[in-house]
Amino acid sequence: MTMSRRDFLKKTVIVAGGVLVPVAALEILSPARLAALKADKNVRWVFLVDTERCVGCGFCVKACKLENDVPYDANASRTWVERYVLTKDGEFHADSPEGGRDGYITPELDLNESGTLTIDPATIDKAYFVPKLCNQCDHPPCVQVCPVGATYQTPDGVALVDRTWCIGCGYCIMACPYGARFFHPEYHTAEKCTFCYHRINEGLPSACVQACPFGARQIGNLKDPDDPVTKTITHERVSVLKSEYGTKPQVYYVGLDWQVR
Amino acid sequence: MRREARQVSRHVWRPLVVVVVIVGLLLVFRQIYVPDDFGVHEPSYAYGWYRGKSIGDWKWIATKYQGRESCAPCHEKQVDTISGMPHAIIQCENCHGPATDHPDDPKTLPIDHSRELCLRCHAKLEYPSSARGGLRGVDPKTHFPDQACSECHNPHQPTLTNLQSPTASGRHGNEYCRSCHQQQVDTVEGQPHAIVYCESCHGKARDHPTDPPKLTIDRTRALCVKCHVDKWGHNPGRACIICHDPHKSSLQFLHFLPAEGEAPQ
Repeated sequence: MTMSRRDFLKKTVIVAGGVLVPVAALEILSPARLAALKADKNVRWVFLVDTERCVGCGFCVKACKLENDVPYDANASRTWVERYVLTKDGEFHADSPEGGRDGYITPELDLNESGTLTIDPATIDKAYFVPKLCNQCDHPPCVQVCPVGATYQTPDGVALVDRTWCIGCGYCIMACPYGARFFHPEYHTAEKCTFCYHRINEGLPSACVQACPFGARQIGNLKDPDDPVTKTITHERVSVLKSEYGTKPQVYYVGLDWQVR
Repeated sequence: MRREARQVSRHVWRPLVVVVVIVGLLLVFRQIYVPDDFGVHEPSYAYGWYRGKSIGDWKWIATKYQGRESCAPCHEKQVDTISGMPHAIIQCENCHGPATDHPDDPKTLPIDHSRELCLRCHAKLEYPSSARGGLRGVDPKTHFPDQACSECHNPHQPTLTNLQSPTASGRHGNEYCRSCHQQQVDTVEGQPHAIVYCESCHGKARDHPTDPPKLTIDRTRALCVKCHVDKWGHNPGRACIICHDPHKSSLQFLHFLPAEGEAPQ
């Protein structure tokens, strides 16, 4: 096939233009800018839960729901408290009615559709309460799966959801190994614990931390070596939930038992 | 030959032009729809792909729980009373409700007087290895099941030495009223409001019937919402007692709602 000069020039322009249009959609990042993004910041919010101190009063859940406008009667909460009961025959049972919002006021376990379970106190080996919330992971899987960039990690380590940008696909809810995310019943977007981002940035403790009468919940800055939370995490024995997922969770637990998942 | 080549190229180019136009339109749409500050931000390329102003949206939310330090300047006496007591570790707002902008909005806070509030900690659970097992507790089914805890226990001074009989606080128990108003006290018995003092609505009895000979009954909506805080928006502007009988407060005794404009009885 022969080609005239005119045709050749025409086709060259069209092909070059066709290639340039999609390339224009890409952002070219300079290495200097990427390096700046990795630079060390001086705040990293972390959480410390002392399960030995928790009595299952549920004031934390109540305060969280009211502070953060999570509909009070909806069966969804940014934080919740679980009860574990281990009996002498080696069985273990767990429940979390309403996420522990109203506290644990009866020895009967609420096993949802299986009804209730009454355990004779004489047969109990150990029983305890475990408060849970978003682990604000260093490698948050929920952020990795978001197809639109609606959820992200802040420079100080908190995973947030941009409600104006979330399309409600629910990938992040599926991706979280801790079950910490849910749909907000009113906004219909993904919802999660923010460590009360609006409070910690004003120097106030998170609502659940403030509401806890027993000091079972504490929030601190891991980059500050004098922070009491940092001291506990760095000098005492603490553990995290589901470390095998490689998410590097940043909610540390004191007194965590092996049955707690 | 040349004519044929032109025909082939036309049917190849046509869809290509359509694709280029679609891509172009998408790019124009993206340019308009995606905010300028959407892109890579701190802390990392992997997790920092978002709309920059979103952080501000989360930072500038008004706080609701203000902490006991903000209660102290006005409620000095109450803060003094509770200090040194076992309940000093409990935030005021856990029982009194979040302050938000109190006293501007709301003017008064809804106090939770319910038994369930106290039982959060004081329902006895025999749990070894949990701090709960060490808390003083009762079996709510057998420990004065029909009475509010605060009838005998002062929440600000909860030690047992401060235990008060209902009359010690200058209040008369409902038994006092029963001696003359047998029928009314009987009616309320077994109803949800059986745990409420007669005096809470009918006013302090003092030396009634001699002084004062008649008591002034508080029939206002404001009285009911002290406990039924979630019902502010329920038929606003109307007295609760138009439909709800305070003595027979179960919903089965609900009166019919009169037409709009009819005077409350």
